[in-house]
Amino acid sequence: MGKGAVAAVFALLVVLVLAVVVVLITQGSVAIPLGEVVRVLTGRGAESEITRTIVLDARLPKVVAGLLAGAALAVGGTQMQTLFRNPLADPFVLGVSSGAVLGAAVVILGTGGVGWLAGLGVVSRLGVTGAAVAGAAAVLLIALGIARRVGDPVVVLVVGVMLGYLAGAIVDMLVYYTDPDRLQALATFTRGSVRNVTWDELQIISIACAVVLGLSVYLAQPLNALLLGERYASSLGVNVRRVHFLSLASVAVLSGITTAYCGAIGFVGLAAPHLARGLLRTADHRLILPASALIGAAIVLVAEYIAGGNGLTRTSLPLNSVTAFVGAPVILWVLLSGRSRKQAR
Amino acid sequence: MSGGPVLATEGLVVGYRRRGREVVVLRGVELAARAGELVAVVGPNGAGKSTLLRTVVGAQGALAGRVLLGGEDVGGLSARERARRVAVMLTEPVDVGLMSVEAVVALGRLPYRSWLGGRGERDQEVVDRALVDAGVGSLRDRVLSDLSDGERQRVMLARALAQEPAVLVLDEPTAFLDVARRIELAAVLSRLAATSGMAIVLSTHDLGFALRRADQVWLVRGQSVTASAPEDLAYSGAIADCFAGENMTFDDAAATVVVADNSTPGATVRVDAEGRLRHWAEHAVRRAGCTPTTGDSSLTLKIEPDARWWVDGAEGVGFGALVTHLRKSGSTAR
Repeated sequence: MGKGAVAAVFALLVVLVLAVVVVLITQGSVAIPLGEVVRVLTGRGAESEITRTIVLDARLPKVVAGLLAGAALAVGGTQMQTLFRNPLADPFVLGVSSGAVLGAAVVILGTGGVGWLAGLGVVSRLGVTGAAVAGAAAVLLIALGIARRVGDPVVVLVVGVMLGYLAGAIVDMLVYYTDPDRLQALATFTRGSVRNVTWDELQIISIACAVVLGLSVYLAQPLNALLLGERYASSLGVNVRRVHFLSLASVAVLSGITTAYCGAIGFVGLAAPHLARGLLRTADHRLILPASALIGAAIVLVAEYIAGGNGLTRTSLPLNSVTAFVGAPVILWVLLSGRSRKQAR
Repeated sequence: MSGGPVLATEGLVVGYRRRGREVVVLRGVELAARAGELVAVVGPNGAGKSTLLRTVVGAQGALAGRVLLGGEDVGGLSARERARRVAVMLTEPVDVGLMSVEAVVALGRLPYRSWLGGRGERDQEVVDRALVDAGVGSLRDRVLSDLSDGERQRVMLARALAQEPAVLVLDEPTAFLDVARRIELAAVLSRLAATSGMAIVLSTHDLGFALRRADQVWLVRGQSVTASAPEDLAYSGAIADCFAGENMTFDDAAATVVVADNSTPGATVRVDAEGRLRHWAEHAVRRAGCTPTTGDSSLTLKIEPDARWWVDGAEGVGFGALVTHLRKSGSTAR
């Protein structure tokens, strides 16, 4: 694919993401014209205080959270697929997100009875985040250890699903023995949602995402070398251990943090890289990482729109019910086209 | 160029550590390869060829002794410095999915790039030359997964050349290739050794290739490595000792190991033909368990260019029929 075509694909993706962002901010229970949104954002005074509140406190955090979560999951998924040498790897499918939920659940249920949504202090919020990242890292290490022994991507997939069930079962047990007040906090975790994220939380998410997404720029070329296998990568001067560590840490942070604030959003990390490769006709991480970040952001935002999280109804679909429509067909396509077996060699 | 060896080993002990105990595979390894030399590493399966090569490229530590790349200890080099001096090509063809040939070859420039740096003009020149030298210039824009195994191996070779190494190490490069691709790759490697100034070290099971093309053979056997010119090793019988087991002998003419024929020799057959016809007629006679000769014999085989033959009063067409006839009559003629 020529440079022009690559630029065109990226331009298209950026326009797509911007379009969804605009739709999500302007449409909803109250339609707010774009001009007014811009006035609010540039601080030139809005028509009404209500408009200001809707844009700044309801819609914008949700959109930013969706953008970051989508990009983070997609970049995490891309790295996992290379790391595991498995086209079916993804934080959700391999149980990494469930590990994060378990980590978070232990801290939430184990600490004081104040409701999670009522507003935890920064310290305990960081504690929950850290626990989620640790939970994600633990499952990631177990899954990778098994993947290196087994090699067959389909077996690894099943193992990941089982690890996810196991973590989920432990969460259920914890919930069963806990008083109902604290359960509310856990409900969003398993459904996936970008609606309850506050600006304070967004700060943590965006700083972490900026660091880790920046790190993936450094990892792009070593990951390309890893496509040839570890022995070739090391013969090309790549420090395979360091790249593995940095990449695993990135995935743990990205999926741990998104899960801590937006719940376990499924299938984005799996589908986005495949769509990126399909669009750009390459596996080059320098192109695939940014492209799948944009695609992941677009998927989460579109899913958020479809899920009806725009205030039309009080209740809404879990995000996973929508993302499954993108993710499940991709998994089936990979399985049936035999790409999973081919890559196992 | 200093003229010293680009690759040398000093008192090298090759092996690995398992549960704190040292397992020695090869000891007292003293080897040297000069620029422009083609070195073939041969030896029976499991003798330690691959372990030797892994140690030589620094992918595995030595139990004792040193490996010197351009006079410097490989153990003291950083991964990047090492990658600028020695490139490797492994046995199995890789499948990286959707990567263009050029992108894969450009990975060979990784040891020369800063972590954010793009590809410079010089990098592009080196990649272009590597593509041509490995004979894959026309495949530049193709996707690796669409190529045949042979083509993919040569792309991996081009990637190794893009590293501009002083030493190129190939582990069984022809193992997964068919006969034609094998010969093709062998020709490319011989030409590269002669023109590029690299030392090429490759392990192979193809004794014929090793003896015909290599400047030096490293014979790996019984925990040691013998380095010498191919003729020295063949003439001294070292290769025969190494490979010829109970039912095998080393055939000097064919420069390879063949199945020993311990059966009682059949009749001697005088072959009356010339050139290629004679070659294949003798081949058929041997296959029938008889001995071809140019001198007098009780049996004379006359054969014509259309493979029509006469022997001992019988006649027929085709080598297959000839072998069948000789096997039948050979046992009675004895």
